[in-house]
Amino acid sequence: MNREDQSINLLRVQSVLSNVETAFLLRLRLISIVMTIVVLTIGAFIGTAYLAAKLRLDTVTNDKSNALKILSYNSKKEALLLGLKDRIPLIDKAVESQYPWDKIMDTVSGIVSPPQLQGLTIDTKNTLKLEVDLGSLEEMNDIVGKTKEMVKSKQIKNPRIESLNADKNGKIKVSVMFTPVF
Amino acid sequence: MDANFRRLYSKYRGFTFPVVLTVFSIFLFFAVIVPVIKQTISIYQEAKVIADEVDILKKRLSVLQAIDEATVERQLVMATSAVPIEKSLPTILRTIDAIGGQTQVTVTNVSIDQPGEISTGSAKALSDAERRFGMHLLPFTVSLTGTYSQLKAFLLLSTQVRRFIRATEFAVDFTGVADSPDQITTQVLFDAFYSPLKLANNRDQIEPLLPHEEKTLSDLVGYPYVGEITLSQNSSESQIQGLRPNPFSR
Repeated sequence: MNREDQSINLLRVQSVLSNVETAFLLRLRLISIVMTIVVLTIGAFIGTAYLAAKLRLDTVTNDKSNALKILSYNSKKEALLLGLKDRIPLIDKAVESQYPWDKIMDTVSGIVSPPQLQGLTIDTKNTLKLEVDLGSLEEMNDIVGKTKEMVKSKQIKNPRIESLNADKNGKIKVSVMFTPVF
Repeated sequence: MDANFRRLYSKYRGFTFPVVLTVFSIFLFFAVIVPVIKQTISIYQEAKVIADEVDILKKRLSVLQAIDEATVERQLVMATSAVPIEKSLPTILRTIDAIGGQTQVTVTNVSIDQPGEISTGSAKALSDAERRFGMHLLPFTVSLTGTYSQLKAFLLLSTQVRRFIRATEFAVDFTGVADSPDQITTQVLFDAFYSPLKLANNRDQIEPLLPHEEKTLSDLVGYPYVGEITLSQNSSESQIQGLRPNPFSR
């Protein structure tokens, strides 16, 4: 065995990477480092955001439970207010639905009064229906004349005779309808 | 084989660290960061919903804390005396009696056409006429005797008192008062209003009384509760027993 054969090669085996592979390796190193930094930065940001969100959730949950607690002390007041809110529109409607009986009676009196006036009905469209008992055709003419005058003076509108019955004794039953103008 | 692997490893071992780091970063992103982002968004959304609820609750609270419980209770008692929460037949009778007394008309008969069940009737469907008003109507007939002007006053006063009733028609009958020519007997058909209390389900929109609502209540003060006056003046204590003028009293 000669001297050359007994020597040990302590030199590092030389890289056999090509230029392209070396460039790729450098880029890969750069990308991996950048990616790690980005991921860690995002992670830190998201972690902070998560903690902030949790804190906010806890705060608003506490606020809600406090508000509900205070609200429960006011539940009777709330029920009273809601009850009042329910009742007021009904009161408005009930007041609006009232017929102005003083004006209606004055209008009716201008045409016919008891004992001739036997009945009076008012419908939802404010149309008055008078049931009148008359003793003669003259009385009938009188009522028709008064009705015409009231139409002229615009106290009533749309007058019409709904029915007319005369018996053998000369008694006349007549239904007169009209709409008072208020 | 082993020698080949060693050679390859030796050649490419420089890639190991960047590849592991890249894979770890990608894993960290998808396995940890993305779920945390989703959860954070979900928490923010939940917190926003609750925050909105808290805002509404605080508005409700501010409305409620601004009103006086005694005042609103008194107003509700007054409102339910105008339109009761049930048929309240005694108040109909007392009101008619009181109007008759004030106008000097003799009330000879009060006939309630369909008194029906004593309950509030909240489950009862509204008829077409009732739907127009949004509340129940209880028809009843009153027989009255008086002069024409007294009857006119009776009808007029019936529109100006609590509880609210509404005359819809009347029929004149002379047979019973032939000896008094100026006295006439009439049958007047009335509707009495009533409606069970319906508390709004959506309490989030609760508002204080609006100006027009305040006006309705202040106008209502002008309507005397004649049934109460009659009771206090003419009725014995035993008649009052069992009636609760304030249904909300404890």
